Formats: sequence, C-alpha cells, structure tokens
Amino acid sequence: MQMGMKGTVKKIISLLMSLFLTSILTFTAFQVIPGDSALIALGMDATEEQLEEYREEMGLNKSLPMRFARWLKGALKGDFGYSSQYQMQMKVSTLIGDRLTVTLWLAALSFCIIVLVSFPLGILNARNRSGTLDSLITLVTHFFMAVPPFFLGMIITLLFGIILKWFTPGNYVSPEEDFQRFLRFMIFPAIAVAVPKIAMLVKLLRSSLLREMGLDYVRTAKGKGMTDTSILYRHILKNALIPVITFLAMILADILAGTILVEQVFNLPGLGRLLVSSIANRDYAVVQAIVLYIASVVIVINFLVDLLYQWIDPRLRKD
Amino acid sequence: MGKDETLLCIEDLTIGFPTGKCVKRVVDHISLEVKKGEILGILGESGSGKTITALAVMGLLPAAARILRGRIQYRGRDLLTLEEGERRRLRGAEISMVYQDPMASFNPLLTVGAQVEEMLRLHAKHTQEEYRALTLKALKEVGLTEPLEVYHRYPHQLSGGMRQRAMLAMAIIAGPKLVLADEPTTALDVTTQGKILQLLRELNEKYGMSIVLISHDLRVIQNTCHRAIVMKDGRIVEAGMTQELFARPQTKYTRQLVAAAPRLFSDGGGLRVTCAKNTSYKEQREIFTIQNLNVFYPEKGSGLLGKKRRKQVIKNANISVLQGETLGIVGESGSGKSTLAKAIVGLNREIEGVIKFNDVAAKGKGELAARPQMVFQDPFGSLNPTKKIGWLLEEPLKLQTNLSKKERIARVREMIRQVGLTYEFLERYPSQLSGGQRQRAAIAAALIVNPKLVILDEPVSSLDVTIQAQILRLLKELQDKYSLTYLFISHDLNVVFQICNRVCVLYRGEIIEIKEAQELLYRPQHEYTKELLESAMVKMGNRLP
Repeated sequence: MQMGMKGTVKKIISLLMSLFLTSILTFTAFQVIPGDSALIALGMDATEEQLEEYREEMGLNKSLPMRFARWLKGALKGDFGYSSQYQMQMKVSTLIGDRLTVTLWLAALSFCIIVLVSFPLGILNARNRSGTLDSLITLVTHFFMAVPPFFLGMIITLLFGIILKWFTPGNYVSPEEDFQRFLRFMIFPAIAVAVPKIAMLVKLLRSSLLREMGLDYVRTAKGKGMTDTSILYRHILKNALIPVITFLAMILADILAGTILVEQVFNLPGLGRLLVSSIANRDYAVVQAIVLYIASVVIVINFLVDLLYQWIDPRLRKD
Repeated sequence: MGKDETLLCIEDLTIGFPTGKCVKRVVDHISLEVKKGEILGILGESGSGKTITALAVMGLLPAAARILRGRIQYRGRDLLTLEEGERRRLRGAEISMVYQDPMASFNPLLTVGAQVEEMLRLHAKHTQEEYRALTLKALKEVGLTEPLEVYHRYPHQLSGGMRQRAMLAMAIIAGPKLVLADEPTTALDVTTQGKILQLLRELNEKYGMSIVLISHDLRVIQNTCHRAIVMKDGRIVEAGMTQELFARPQTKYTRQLVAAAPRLFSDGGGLRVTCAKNTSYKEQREIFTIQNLNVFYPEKGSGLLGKKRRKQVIKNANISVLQGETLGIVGESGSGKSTLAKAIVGLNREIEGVIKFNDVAAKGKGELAARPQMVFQDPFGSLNPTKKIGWLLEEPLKLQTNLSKKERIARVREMIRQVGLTYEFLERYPSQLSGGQRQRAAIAAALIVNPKLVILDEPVSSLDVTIQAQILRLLKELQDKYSLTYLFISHDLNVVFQICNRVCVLYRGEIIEIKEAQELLYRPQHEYTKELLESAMVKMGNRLP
C-alpha cells in the first residue's frame, strides 16, 4: 500500500510537470504568431509614443523568459490581463469567469443526464440481449448517434420552447438573477448535448457488458449458484466499466471545453462562443487563457482517470 | 446412506450445437454413473465432449448448446427438469466444479478471499467472522500455507499452482458431495501437478467426496481414478476399472492412447527410455555456443521520473550445441526457458555475454540463413489469423531471400508437403486448421528459410497425445532430412526424453545441470533435477526404485 502512495505522489509530480510544459507551449505559441500586441490592444490609430508607452508598461520589451514568468505568475493568480475586444476595459479573468460558470453548469447537467440515462439503458439492453427491447433500444440509439447536437437543439427549441412553451427560446437568465429559471433553461441545452453521447455510451456499455458476460469468471459465478442479477452487479459491471470510463472521460473533457454549436442555438454565453469571437477579434489574451484552460482540463481528467483505473483494477497497481 | 449409493446418473445424454439446418452433436448418447466416494476419470482428447458433459451436469452449457435427449439425475432428481431456483441451490452446495483455466475463471477485480467466501455466503448462514474463519480454513485445507495472505491477494498475484488450489478451495468450501474437476492440472508444472492430484485424492478419502476428474492426460487419470471412461467424438469408447482398463484395453482407440502416452518407465519397473539414439552428431562441430550469457527484462520505471530498472532472468548461461543434435531445455514455468529462447533468436536485446552461430558472434545481421528460427508454443496466437497459410509461408522468403515469385511458390509447395499437409492447406486460414495442422504449418514457416538451428518452444504441449506423437515423429524426420539442430524447450519431461540427445535443466534462471539424456535420467546430480524426475514418475503412478 505504501508503494501505492509513492506511485500516486509520482503521478502528481508528473501531472504538475505536464501542466507546466503546457503553459510554456501555450505561451510560446502565441509569441510566434505574427502581429504587434500593442497595436492590437490600442488600435491602428495609436501613435508611436503611445505604443512604446504601452510596451513599456506591459513589459513587452523584456526578454521572452521574463515575459513568460510574468504571464505565468499572473495566470497562477487567475490574472490574464485585459481583453482587447472590450477595449481593455474588461479583465480576461472576469470575462472567462462568467462564461465558465455557464459552461460548467452545462457540462455538469449534461454529464449527469448522460450517466443517469445511459447506464440503466445499457444494462437493460444487455440483459434483454436479442429481445424486442434490445432491438428497439439499438434502433433508437443508432438514430440518435447520427443526429448532430445543434440540430437536436433546434428540434428541442421548436418542441419544448415554441410548441409546448416550457421555456422561452433565446431568453437566457443568468444564475445570479434567478437560479431556478437558470436551471430550467439550462436543462434543454444539456439534453441537446447529452443525447448523442448517450446513444454512443449505451452502445459501448451494451457491447462491453455482453463481452464480459461470455467470460469464464461469469460461468464460475453462475456455478456457485448466484442469480443472474447478483452476478451482473457483483461481478460483471465493474469489469465492464473499464472501457467505458475512458469514453466517459473523453466526453467530459469534450463538453468542459465548451459546446459552441449548442451555445449558439440556445443563445448561451458559454466558453465556446467566447473562444470563437476572441479568435475572430485577435483577442490573444483571452484565447491564450482558454487554450490553457482546455489543455489543463484534459490533463487533469486524464490524471483522475488514471487514478480511477488503479482503484478499480488491481492488475494496474504496481507493487 | 450406503457406500454404493449412486450420486450422479447420466442416461443417454445427447448434446448438440445447431449450425444452420443441421445439428453438430458434441455429446452422443452418453450414459454413466458416479457412485458415492469414488473418483471417476473421463479421458479424452480435445473435442471429445468431456467438458461439455460436465457443464451439462452443472447446468452451465453455452447458450448455443441444446440438450437433444437424455436425463441427468442427481440423487434421484432429474436435473434437466428441475426448476431454475432449485437447480441454483444445488450448484456449489451439492455439485461444484473446478474449471480448466483458473486465471480466467476468477474475477480479476476481486480478491481471492472474497470470491471463495462468496461461495460460502451463498449456501450457508454464518456471522461475518465465521465466514472469514471458514474461508481461511478452506484455503489452508487445500495446502495454501499462508491463507491470510492469499485471502487478500488478487488472482493475478498468485502463481498458477496457488490459483488452482484456491479454485479447489472455492469448490469444496460449501461441502459439495460431487466435484467435477476439469483438467485441473493441465496448465501446471509437473511438480505442482503431482501435488494437486495428491490433494484431490486426500479430499476424496477424508470427506468421501465423489470426484469426476476430466483430463486428456492418461497418466493423470491412471494415477488418480478408481474407474475411468474413455471418450472420443462425443461417445464413450470404453469404460472400466482404471487398472484393468489401461492394462488390457479392449478397443483400438484406447490402445492407441496407451501407446501414444509418453512413458519413462515400463510396467516391469525397469527403465525404458526412448531417448534419441542418434549418436552421429557427436563427431559434428559446434554450430552454436552461448558464453556467460546474462539476459535481462527491462522493468518500466513508473511515472515520468521513474528510473529504468532491469531484472535479471538468465544468469551466466553457458551452452554449446553440436550440429544435428537435439538439446532439451527443461524447467518449470518462470525458470527462464522462454526468455533464453527469445534471447537466442534475437527477440530480446537486453543481453550481456556472447551468442555465436558457426563461430560468428550474433551482432548485427550476420548470415541470415544461419539465424535460428523459432516454433512457438501456441500456434493459434503465433500465426496471423487474417492471412492464408500460403501467404504466411511465403512471407519469410520475401523478407530474407531474393527468390522470384515463382521460386518462392515452388519452395512453399515443397515445404507444405514436407510437413505432411497438402497444397489445399495453402488456401486456408489458420482458424480453419486443427491444432496439429496449425503446428505443422508453424513448423513449415520456421523451416522455409533453411535454418540450421530451430528453437522449439513447447511445440507439442498444447496438443493431444496422439497428435503430439505425430508431431514429434515429424520433427525427427525433418531433422534427419535437413540435418537440423534443435533446441527443444519443454516442461514435459516425458516428451523431452523421447526426442532429446542432451538435456539442460534450468532452475531460477541458472543452468544447474547439462548432460546426456540417459545420464541425467539415471544419475541426476542436483536436488531439483531429482525432484523434477520424481514428480514426473509419481504422476505416472510409479515410485522411484
């Protein structure tokens, strides 16, 4: 067990190192892009003196490592400077912070829906192998796998927003304003994000469960006199989860990075839309911060999945 | 309850797998009885229907299998018409099974203790502490000396022998009256095999537990069972008391099996060694030498900062092989046999020391034709399943020679004849071949580039005895024809003594003895060699003189 601890500490150290490397890459990448950030910040009308003053003030004349250190120090405190698309009036951190709340809520909601719906369906599907229910679920999942989320968003808007009037399309309410109405609104984009992923997950879970059901240890359990249900929950499920976890992690990273199309359809102020508008406006400070965020999310999720695997599968533990 | 009570009675059982319109019968009109307290052996080669019969008794047949007719009665109750709930209560508590592959038959994610205990929990009411105490007791009962440690281990952390013992503990913990043991010793070393069989006999004597022992190995059945049944293609060929049955077999097939079983000792108690008598190799020159060879396995350091470590598997090995001889390498699993073989063919580069072919050190590519070829243990895994046999045979020629397409095909055709297959096999995929045919194809693939030295890594251990004998004969023929030199790796001493001129014993990565086969058999020096020989004999029901 002590070795296990040691392994975890090692993993944490390598996590921190990858995060550091990511920050270097993110920073350098934007230094290589041609263009004068002073000019971008102050606009084409700025005089030479104003530009020089800005460069001095922002430390743009210093060496690359110095500027990186300065940027990283700020980044660690959550300070990424000011956004140029808002005429340097808006802090990048505030801008991203607001959008992040929306994206995080959307991610959390859709992730819950994905897990809560696909697990029972996948299990039901596998248990009714080659029954009518199985064929029906398979048919429906195949259909939804092919539907892109934004199109589904449009259908949902039409059905629940316009016909059933369960929410007002486009009328986003921020959580500070009215949290209940915010949640009621957010549930619909969350469904739009979740449905195609559910379809894929049900399919994956079904095939994973069926594969496990054919293995020898299941026969052993049956030979002990266990019922099929307790074999499923006590023996099969945990084994079947192993491939599913990787996929769940990919989904989570994907929706945490922002879902631009769904945000657009539901008029949500999320991270995805901010990223697109920042790229269009050459607002590098914002883009840099979002890229760093996305990269970190992916790295951290991978780290957590790694730990989760070791917890589930004793064969992966080193001793 | 009398001693003669019949526990299990199978009448006219027929099981088939429907394929398309016809049904492939795998068990065909089988009738047998198991009495209380007896050990019944079922002997048969793979595909003879012995495992399916056992699974039918357990009610664990694969979904595709259909019971076409017959009855299975357990203490007067017909199992086939029993309600599922009733039947479930019998499983484990009355009838339990020891499965063929204990690694796959345990859940990899749960501790061994939890899985053994689960059996008890399903069939008996106790307190938490009692469950645990009884589980530990059962683990101790099957000869696991540190039950508490085993209890907390996961299946992959145990050795093959320990896993098999744990599987046995699981089978007996709920006190069943009948245990079906399906090839319980097949995957084990000879030394461990003997101990497990001994354990089965002890359990039978101590608790009067009836055992059905299923094996393809005549010696296992002969040494353990009171009564035996010989099965072939789903039918019972012959049955009788074990001694009688194998001493005076009535049918041709049983006689064949008895004849094919490799033996060290004849019935008279004297030694009858079938060691290869070919002594002409002695005048030959050395074709291959190893000097002070150390082989390592790199161990992956953990994380980004982990240091690279390596584990020494082979320690200071010295071997020289003469042209035309067969050198056997024996040792139990984990002794480094396969590692040594891989180092010789160049599949492992973490080596120190000298490996020489024809006095040329094997650094760089060297003379290609002189490079040794290898035949692997598992012809299923070592032949690419997506390619036809013809393609597989041609590939080494493409890589190692400059022959034209026409010449290559001529060579492939010649080779396939040499290993006793016909041209039509060239158009088949490995999955369409039987185990023996696949191993023939693998041998052809190894020999096609005209190597001088061939390394055979357990080439017959996955095959049935009658097929084993055929393959060994083929190897001998090919050796004479092409004056080949063999390095023959095996854990099966009986096979080794049939084909090898000299034998080298590997123990924990060290060569502890290397000498003429006869010499080794008569005058083993090292304690381990003696133990190895003894367990091979015990398994055959003989004792050392």
